[in-house]
Amino acid sequence: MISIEEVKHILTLSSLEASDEELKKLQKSLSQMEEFVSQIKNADVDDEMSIENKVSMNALREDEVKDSYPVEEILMNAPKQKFNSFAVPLMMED
Amino acid sequence: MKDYEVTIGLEVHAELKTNTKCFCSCKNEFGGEPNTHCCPVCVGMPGALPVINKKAVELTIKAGLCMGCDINDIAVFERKNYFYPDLSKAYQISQLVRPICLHGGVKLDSGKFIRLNRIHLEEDAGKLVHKSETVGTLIDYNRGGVPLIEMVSEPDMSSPEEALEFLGKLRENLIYADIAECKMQEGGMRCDVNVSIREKGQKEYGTKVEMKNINSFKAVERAIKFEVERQKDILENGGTVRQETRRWDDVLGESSSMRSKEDSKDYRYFPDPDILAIEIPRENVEKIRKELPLLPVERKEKYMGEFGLSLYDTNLLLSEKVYSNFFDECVKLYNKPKSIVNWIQSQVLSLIKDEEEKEIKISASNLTKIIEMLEKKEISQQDSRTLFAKCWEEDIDAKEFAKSSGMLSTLSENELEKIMDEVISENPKACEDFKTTPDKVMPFFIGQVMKKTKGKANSEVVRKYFTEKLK
Amino acid sequence: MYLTKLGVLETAKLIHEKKVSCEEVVKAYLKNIEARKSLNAVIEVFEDALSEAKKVDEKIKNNEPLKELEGVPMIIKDNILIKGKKAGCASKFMQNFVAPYDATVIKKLRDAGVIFLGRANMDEFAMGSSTEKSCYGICHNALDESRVPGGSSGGSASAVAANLACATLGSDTGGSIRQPASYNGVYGIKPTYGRVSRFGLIAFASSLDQIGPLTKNLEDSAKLLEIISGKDSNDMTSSKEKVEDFSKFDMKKTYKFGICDEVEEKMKNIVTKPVYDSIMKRLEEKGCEFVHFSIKDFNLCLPIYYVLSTAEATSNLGRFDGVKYTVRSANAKDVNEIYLKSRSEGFGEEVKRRILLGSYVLSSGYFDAYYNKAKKLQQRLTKQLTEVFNSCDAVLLPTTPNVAFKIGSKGDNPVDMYLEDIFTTIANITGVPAISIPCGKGENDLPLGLQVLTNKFEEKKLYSVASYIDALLKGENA
Repeated sequence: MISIEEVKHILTLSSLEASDEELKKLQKSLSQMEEFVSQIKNADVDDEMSIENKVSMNALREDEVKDSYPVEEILMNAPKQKFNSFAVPLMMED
Repeated sequence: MKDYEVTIGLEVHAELKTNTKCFCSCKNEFGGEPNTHCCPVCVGMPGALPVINKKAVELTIKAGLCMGCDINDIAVFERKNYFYPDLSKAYQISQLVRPICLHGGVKLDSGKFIRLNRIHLEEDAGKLVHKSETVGTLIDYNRGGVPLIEMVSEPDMSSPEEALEFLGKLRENLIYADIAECKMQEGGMRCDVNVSIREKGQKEYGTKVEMKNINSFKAVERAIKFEVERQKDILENGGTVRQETRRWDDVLGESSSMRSKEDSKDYRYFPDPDILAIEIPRENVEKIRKELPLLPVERKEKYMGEFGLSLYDTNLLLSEKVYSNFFDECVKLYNKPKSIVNWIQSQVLSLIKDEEEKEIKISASNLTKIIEMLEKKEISQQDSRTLFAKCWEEDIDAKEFAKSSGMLSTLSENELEKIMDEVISENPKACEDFKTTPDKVMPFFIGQVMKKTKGKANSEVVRKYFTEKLK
Repeated sequence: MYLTKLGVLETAKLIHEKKVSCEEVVKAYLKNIEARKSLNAVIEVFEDALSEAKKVDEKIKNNEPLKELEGVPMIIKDNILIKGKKAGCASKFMQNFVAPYDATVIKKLRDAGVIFLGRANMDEFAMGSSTEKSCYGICHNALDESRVPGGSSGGSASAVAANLACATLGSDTGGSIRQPASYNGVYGIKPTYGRVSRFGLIAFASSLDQIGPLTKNLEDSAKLLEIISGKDSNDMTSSKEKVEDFSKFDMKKTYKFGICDEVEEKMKNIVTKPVYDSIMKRLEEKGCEFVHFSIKDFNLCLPIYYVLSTAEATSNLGRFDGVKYTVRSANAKDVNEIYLKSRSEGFGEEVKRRILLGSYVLSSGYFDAYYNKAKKLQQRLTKQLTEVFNSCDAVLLPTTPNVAFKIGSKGDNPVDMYLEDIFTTIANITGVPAISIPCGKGENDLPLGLQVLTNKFEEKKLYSVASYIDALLKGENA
């Protein structure tokens, strides 16, 4: 069973929020889901993982500039934009 | 006050000198109108995928070789997940378990070796511009995706001076090897500092405090000094130093606790499934190693050892990569390092030492030709200066111009003798005076000969001739 | 209408031979879409569909050279970007998003002359097996509207079965093309991982996602796969493997098929077992051989899938934040609240659950026990399966445990829905290609699907084997 504290913690990590009622519901669902995947925890694997999906350095992208996208297209789906930038409420210097 | 030992570690980020960003082909360039160097990949658009830049990997390897690191056979990229407006995908592509470079380090002048833990490749975030209540904070992703190397030192430094020297040497190497420009004022190089103190004799390290927002060499020094004092105060008053991240304010000269944004963050690192592991063949590493230019430490040894230059001259040459590279180029063409460094010092530096952009406007070929002609007495001292100025301003060949302008006329022995005899016959009184006061009159004779030969005569030859002739 | 019953190749032929105009074809499909509105398979019909059709007719009139599939209309799943058109993963969070660029597969289809009719309904952010979790409302099975079409490419499958287009594109992460294909009696393939570029596919689980066609017949499927496959410089995970002529089926006289013991064990309790037994018997009668093998980690497929996919999803969905591409909460006072409220209001319940589970399995303290272990198991499982192909041509297994279930019949426990993927996830986890072909009927005369799997990058063999079985099932002589 995942504790309410743990649910709150992963909500924070995921940038999500939930009311107290929703929290209880989430606790239940997440615990069900966790139980479902818990077989992984108990599985017996001690093999070192080999890295199979590799690409040689020689096959990588060359350092040649290509045209960037026009600013309008970059911003076209932003819910709020100002001065050709994405805009959010003023943040305190962090 | 008790006696304390200080332990310092540095985490340095440098923007790589590539044409394009780390994971897309947008221009890697400082400045520009907001969001004009962007594409779906670097702004994290749905459906976009990273494509890694070969040059960024090569430069990281190069940096590792400069610092004596081991280069991993296989490098893996991981996602560092957190939410912040300047991070377009809500994760930064970085490296954790298998970075490109491991270990290595830098030797300080004192001989002390500061170890590196790793050098890895990652991408930069965008920029936040905090405007006003009405406008808010604006997000510009031009810088987002620019390739950075992160160089993490072991906590081997014990004073702000050592930290500065380490940072300086790191920076020098990166500049000399053409890996990064390290312009701190443009954010091209950034430094986070970790400081802890412990009572002298205590085995365990004290609590480590991390400091961010340090934007200049001076600030590194000030921040470390302040933090050491701050921690000392706490311990002296019986308190405990809290492990935290603090923000340095260089204007106020103090650090403040950063809000929980940084504290106990769980980045949930995992290997980025969009990026395959990169295999680094040994041949590639060796090729990069072969192409490494000599680094400042090695150049210093060569200039002072092999070339016999003074410490002063050496430091002058090494103060800017441009000077040193130019010097090296000249020496390759004309193997007279001492003459060359004199010219660079007296003529070249005087012209550009106050310039922001140090551009040497005379070619190594021209400069060495001028020096050679002067030393062979093919042109006069004065002419050499004129020629130098001309080559600085215009795109000409020194030798060609000397020929066509008549500077370059060689004097045969007969011609010189003829002229010297002329001087003798034209100045009978001087010849008389020479018998009694040769030292007084010799300069006059030499002067006369120089006038007639336009300075092309060899003064030693003249001296000898007159001495013989008028004995 | 006869026209709309035709597949891709047949339609292209008719149009190119001037036997029918492209406008007629498109009009017929638009009529069907309207007539079968209740299916809710099509979220949006593109306004320019008809004008695009007319352009094709102009070309034909002027005897201009035609592209291979010029004029063939397709419907595209709502998570694949078509420049200038909306793409939203059936999420109210993304309801206003307009694609600034074409997905690579769209570019390739365009280059082949395909025209796009509209967007297909799906489970929100591709998370689901029933297309009941869409902000545009539930999608219905084409053959029985009281039942689900499957998911997450439910709209794509339903649209093909109901003849709303010549073919559709879907995406498959844990079975999302094959399961709906099976439920609607159509053909759906998940290509080898890396076969088709993912550039322009809104990512769910980056190491498992693949785009694939849903079609009325095998020739169409193979042809479309040929067109959309290939190395893409925009996708590092796309493969350099040669794209062969999949549509040239090369059938052998007999095949050696692999049957997994663990699947057989599961099938003991499955009501549709007789259908599959009979197929095996018929194949045997044709001279085919069967080898039995055990995949020790088979029963871990679902947990592995849900750990890996939710982990990658939680990271991939971080960019949906109320700042750049989504709607923004009206109640947010600062950046933090913009994130929290926009995301919480914007994402549906299932999406939120998976994001949370993903964060959980990646979080410090759990990473080794869950994510890292799942990765190791994935490697082990892949070895187990690919070894099997050394001793057989292809592996056969059912696509789903049963026919399409009734809408709303899966309870509150999210896990009940996850069990839908029991036979499909293995292909995603191991990366091998898998196709689902209609193979018979279950209760209420509803379609069932049979999966054929081959080793990685053996799509040519896959289609040949599939067409062999398909012909047999259709009663033709192979």
